[in-house]
Amino acid sequence: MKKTILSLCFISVGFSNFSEKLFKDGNQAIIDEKYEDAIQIYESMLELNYKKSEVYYNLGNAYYKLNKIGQAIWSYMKALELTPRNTDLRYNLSVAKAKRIDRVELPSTFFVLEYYRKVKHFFTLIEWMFMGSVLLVFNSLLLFFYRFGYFGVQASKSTTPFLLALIIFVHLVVVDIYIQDGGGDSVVIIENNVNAYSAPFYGDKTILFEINEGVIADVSKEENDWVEINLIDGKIGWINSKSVRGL
Amino acid sequence: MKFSLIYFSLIIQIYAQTVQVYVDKNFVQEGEFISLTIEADGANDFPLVDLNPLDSDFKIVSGPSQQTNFQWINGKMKNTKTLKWTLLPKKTGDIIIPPIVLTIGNKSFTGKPISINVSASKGNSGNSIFIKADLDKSEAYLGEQISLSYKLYKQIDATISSIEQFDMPDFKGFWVEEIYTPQRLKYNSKTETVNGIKYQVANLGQKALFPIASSGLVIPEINVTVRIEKKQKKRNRDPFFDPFFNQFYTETKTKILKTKKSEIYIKPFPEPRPLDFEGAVGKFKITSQVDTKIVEINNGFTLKISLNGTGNIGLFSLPEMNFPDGLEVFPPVDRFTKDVFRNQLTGTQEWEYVIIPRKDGSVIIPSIQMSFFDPASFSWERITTKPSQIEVINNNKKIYDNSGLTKKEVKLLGQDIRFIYTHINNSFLSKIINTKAIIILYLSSLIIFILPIMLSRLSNYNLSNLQIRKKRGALKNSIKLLSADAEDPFDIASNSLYQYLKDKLNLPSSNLDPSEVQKILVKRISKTTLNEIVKILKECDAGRFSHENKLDKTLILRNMRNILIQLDQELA
Repeated sequence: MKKTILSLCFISVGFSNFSEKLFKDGNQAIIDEKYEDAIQIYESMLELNYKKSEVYYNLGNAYYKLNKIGQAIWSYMKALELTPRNTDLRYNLSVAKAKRIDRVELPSTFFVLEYYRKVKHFFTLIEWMFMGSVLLVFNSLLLFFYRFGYFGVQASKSTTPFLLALIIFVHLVVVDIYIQDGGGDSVVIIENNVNAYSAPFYGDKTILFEINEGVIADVSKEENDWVEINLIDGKIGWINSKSVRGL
Repeated sequence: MKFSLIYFSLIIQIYAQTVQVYVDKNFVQEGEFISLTIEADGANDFPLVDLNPLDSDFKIVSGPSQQTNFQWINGKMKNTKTLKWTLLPKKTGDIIIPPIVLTIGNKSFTGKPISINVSASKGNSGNSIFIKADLDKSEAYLGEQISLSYKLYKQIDATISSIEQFDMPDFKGFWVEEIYTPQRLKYNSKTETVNGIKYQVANLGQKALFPIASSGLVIPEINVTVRIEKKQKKRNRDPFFDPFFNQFYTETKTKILKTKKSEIYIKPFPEPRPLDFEGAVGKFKITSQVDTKIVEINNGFTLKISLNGTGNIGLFSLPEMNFPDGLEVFPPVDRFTKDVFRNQLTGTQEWEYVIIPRKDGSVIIPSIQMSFFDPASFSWERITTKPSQIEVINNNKKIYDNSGLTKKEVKLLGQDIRFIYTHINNSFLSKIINTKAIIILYLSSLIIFILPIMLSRLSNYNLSNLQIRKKRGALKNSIKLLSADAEDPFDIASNSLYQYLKDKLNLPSSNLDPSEVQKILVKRISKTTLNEIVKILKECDAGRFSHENKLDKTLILRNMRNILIQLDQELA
């Protein structure tokens, strides 16, 4: 048993060293302005399941330099899922978004919702869950001590409702993020001049609209090589799944 | 006078009307004209003619010309109205002019059909005059120059008196540059020999065509109308019409000359195409030049890029320039000068940028790179300019960064993504926060929540009540009270008992006295203990109010202690 654990540790150490080497190679390729090479290296790291925010970020930079705005936005969005409070990342994403051809604007909503959205995206799903679990442990400890009478009735009466509300809020946010991430698949359009059809094939086609790279859309249905996308502004159409990349 | 007019008209009415329809010749060559004549004898109006049936086979070049003849024959007047058209057959072979229907006054007449034989011209060579559209190639790359020249061939002894202005056709799918347009008919000094006959050649116009569509390219035909002097054949020696005068009396003949249609085939470019290929085909050179090496901040300088060469210049754009930050670049002024050199379109296109540096330091104007296809060597070629360095100096060290620019423009000037991360940040927090930790935390909170319930189940204690907890600690507390050092031991002893009973039996904190205690405890404990308790309480009361029994104070405390323990055992 001990042996297997030891060998597992070894493998993980070796793996991380290998990834670090790849990462350095990728960075050197970017410095040498060989962006295609850098993209290949970073993409292979992601395939090896070495999914770090920094890898996504650098990959996004390489795509941006090659003017592949859709892929760059995809990478930045992926990085943002991991490190939502990274200011460099947010800046680069905004620069990349500014270079898009299509501006599908989110309709402005009630300001409370805006605040909620900001708060929600300030932490990752894991961080929210961690927060929730810590609060829950704290609350149950409080209850435990209260039962054994170590705290006065007054103190527990004033803190418990507040704590409970906080716990419920945090868990609602967790559920919200989970539904948002896991429920409808989001995609980024990675090609220019993509035609959206009314049906999932090229035959008897009606082109509903044309869309360019960098637009983020939700996928509602899938059919062979086709996906039905929902744009934020309400447009729906079928496009070939080759021209999108799932978030 | 009036009388005579009536007389006149009467005669006309009487005279029979006859109509003749005829042509001047039945055998013509392609491109020759036919004149169609309708002659109405004895009509006082011009006949109304419908020539629409002719449209399919003939083109009406001119007409109708009208002519009226009066003739007096044997005292009778003959009135003849003549209409004349000039027709050009559209087809070769046997063509039939269908019966022509015409009306004069109320009467209608029908002519006879006339057959006409149009023989195809035996190539151009057989003619004394012909024109030809000369193409230098029949297949080309997109954007490669095709030279088209219209040439007029004339046998040396033929003379052309005039040539009508002709319209150049629309060259669909081509971008057309004019190379040569003659002001007047001018023959080249050199003659050309076609099929053994010497011809004088005149250039009627030359164009450079650059294909921009990749299929269906056709050079359309053109029609040129010329007037040729007819040679005078033998004339009789006549004192009045001596050959000497012939030169003043020449007859001309109108002829329409046609070129043939020709198709152009577009060859595909060899693959792979370079990425920076913008459609340039030919042979080019590119240079860039800045007018100064040192410039003061906020003073402009010019960058001139000139593209010089032969080919489809002006048909493609320059690759986009990426100017470094801190430069304000105005849209370039575009200049194009062309000159025709050996029938090839040659020229220079210049772009002039005015650039104003807004930051000091040295600035590098990047090189421009473009690729073109050289059809002469069937290869791709790449040309670049040299990058040039410019020193921007700042004499008075004021911050001019924003001068002339709005905040937004400044923001846009420097907009680029931030640099990559060179290290992967494995922060302590990110190591801690993972799914395992979260699962452990949730489980532990659950355990902590459940634990008290489990414990109470196991030990059968109802732990949740503060009063029960007091009950459990009643003896301990009261003994503690006993051991406290105080002036009045009786007071302490009685108080400790009262406290114990309050805690243990959950009594309200009203004052207790011996009789009360007796009432409460009578059913709970044995009589002996109760008696002892009452006795000791009474002793305490007595001791409190008299100052004589002070010696017994240790004794009473010990007794009380024993009684408390006894009581506790019995109450449990």
